[in-house]
Amino acid sequence: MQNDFSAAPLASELAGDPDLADLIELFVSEMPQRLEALEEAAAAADLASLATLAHQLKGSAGGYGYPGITAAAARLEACARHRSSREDLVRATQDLRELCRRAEAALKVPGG
Amino acid sequence: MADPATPSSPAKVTGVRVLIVDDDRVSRLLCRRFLELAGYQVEEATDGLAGLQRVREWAPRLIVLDALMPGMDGDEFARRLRADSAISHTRILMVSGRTEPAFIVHARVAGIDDYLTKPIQRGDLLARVQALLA
Repeated sequence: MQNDFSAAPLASELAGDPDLADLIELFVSEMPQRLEALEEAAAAADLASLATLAHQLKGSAGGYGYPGITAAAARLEACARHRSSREDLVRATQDLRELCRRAEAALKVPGG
Repeated sequence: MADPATPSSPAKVTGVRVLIVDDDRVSRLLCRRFLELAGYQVEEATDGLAGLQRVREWAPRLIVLDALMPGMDGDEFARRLRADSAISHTRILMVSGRTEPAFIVHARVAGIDDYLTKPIQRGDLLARVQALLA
């Protein structure tokens, strides 16, 4: 797959907007808790909770300038709602986690 | 009339009350920021029951309403608001990640005035809000 090229930090599309800088930072800083909740739901095969959590992230991430996270959350939500295989669920969760890690990395760039 | 504001940021309003009803904190925060930057006075409620209570107490002109919330969902919120003559005139802009036409039709039947798909974008939100309050 093309994952070799996808490790770069992921900046918000709205990163240059001074009106939103603090909110974007807050959104990204809270991602680990969201991911943890998603992964707990996935591990417990709690598809209803997983779909709800993914739906919330789908609805918010794009507004903060992360359309890629919205798209990945939408895929995870669809997997949960359609009761996809455990393998698909794990993959969709991992994709989302990777994007969130890259978003966190972008806020930790040295000199920032 | 010429409007000095850019198309993506409509003319500033001052003090018009808008209530956000949404269980997702980061969605509320972003929506609040967009509205406050445009000059609206904003309060929040985290569920439908608290939202209806706040509408009665604070009398906002418009509600930005999430569709999917635990307990009372957006449709039920809209039905209850329209059934209460003291607050039934309040405008409702529903926001949701759901895009199916049937879902939106149900919400309109329940009583919402307009529908905006999440993720919300600043220009879209302000244009819809401004249009509903015109």
